[in-house]
Amino acid sequence: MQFGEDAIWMKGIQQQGDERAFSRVYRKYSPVVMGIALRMMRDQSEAEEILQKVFLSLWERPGDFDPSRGSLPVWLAVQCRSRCLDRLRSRSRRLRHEEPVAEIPETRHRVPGALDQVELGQQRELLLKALASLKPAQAEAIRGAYFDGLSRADIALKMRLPLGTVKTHLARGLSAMLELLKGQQEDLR
Amino acid sequence: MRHAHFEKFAVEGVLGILNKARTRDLQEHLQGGCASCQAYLDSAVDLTRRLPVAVDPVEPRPEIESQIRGVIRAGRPRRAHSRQILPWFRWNPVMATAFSVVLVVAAAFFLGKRGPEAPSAVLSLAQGRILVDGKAVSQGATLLAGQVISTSKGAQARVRIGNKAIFWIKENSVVRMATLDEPMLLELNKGWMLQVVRHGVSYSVKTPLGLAHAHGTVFFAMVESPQEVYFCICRDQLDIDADGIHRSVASQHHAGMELSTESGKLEFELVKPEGHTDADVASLQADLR
Repeated sequence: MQFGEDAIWMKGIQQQGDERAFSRVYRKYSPVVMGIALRMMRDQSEAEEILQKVFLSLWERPGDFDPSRGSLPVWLAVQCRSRCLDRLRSRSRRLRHEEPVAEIPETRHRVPGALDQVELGQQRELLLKALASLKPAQAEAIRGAYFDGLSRADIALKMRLPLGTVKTHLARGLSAMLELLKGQQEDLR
Repeated sequence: MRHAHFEKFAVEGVLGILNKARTRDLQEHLQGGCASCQAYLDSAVDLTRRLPVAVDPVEPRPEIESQIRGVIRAGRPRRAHSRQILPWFRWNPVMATAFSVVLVVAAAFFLGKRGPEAPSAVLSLAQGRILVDGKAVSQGATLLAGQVISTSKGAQARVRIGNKAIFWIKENSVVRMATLDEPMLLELNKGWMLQVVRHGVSYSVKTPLGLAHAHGTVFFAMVESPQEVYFCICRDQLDIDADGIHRSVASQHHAGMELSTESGKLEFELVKPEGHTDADVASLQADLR
């Protein structure tokens, strides 16, 4: 089980305040968090600050991570994204842009899928492969929303498309990715 | 059995672009027990949560890990681990004894003499009775990390932390200077506290209800009671973490935020600035120059 060590480390952090376990989690997943923060914030110092906050929050409240709702790297990615969106909203308020940035919805308790069973590198490959197989405009809209943290209005501006078309690209792109990943996950089983 | 139009609704719902009537249709369909559409919706949510991990990873600078460990060692609060330590001592008495000896030796060393490299601050203003670790001090005194500074009735003090930050406390305030090197951590247990932090300096104030973190700004904190804490973002940006909730507030001229648990649950409320003035800010900024 590839994420077995995560469970052991999280138990160490949660039950014993084990700094070595924390260090291992940090070394394994800080590049993922830093990558997301840097991509969204486009500012080294802000990205580093968010990275620190995400991991300090993991140390202070390890119980907030619930393995029944997803793997540790995905949880860290969601925490990072949420903090980046807060910052971007704050910047946007300063610039008087009112359009909200897309939120990632909360998830229920769930049965781990095949993607939870593979290493992070392989998950990334599967996601990128699915993304690459979309129509270019769909992939660009999805990257804008989920990699760059852009609002739909910003994506529309960037792609020079009407807002309704961007929404259609996002919906069709996500549906297509779901189909593709479903096939890939069945191959993994 | 697949319900293509509900699957389409599910994706639009996840994207937040589904209209009210269709949202209601989808909810009714799911409440009717359609496992296939529920699974599809769950997969769509899961995909949007998972997508950001596909971003190219970037190795952070090695100093960041040391900074995080510094904050951890400075004793930022954690939840729920101490219960598990006691049983460990019970079944491992040799290690427990050895650990106790180390603790006693360390405590004796640190209580008797503080390390020469301990980061320090200077009491740049002292009016009235100012106590540090319970002992009266006067203007110009050197203050060390871990010490507690308190002001009596009618007293006020300013503490300058190198060239990086300065804080001002007025009467009946209590502050523990947990760490004085970056990332700095001050614990305001009670009272009135205004601070000016140079741009780029990592500086946090912990209060009974939440932790406020700035990366260079001017902000004010007031602990009115353990159930009521007030922050004012006088300039730039402040990140407030309380009970698992994160708020980032930006302002170029005083934005007040009150945290309160008086209703039984933690509430954040934007309120009018109070307790300090532009003249206070200007005077403190002048002291850091």
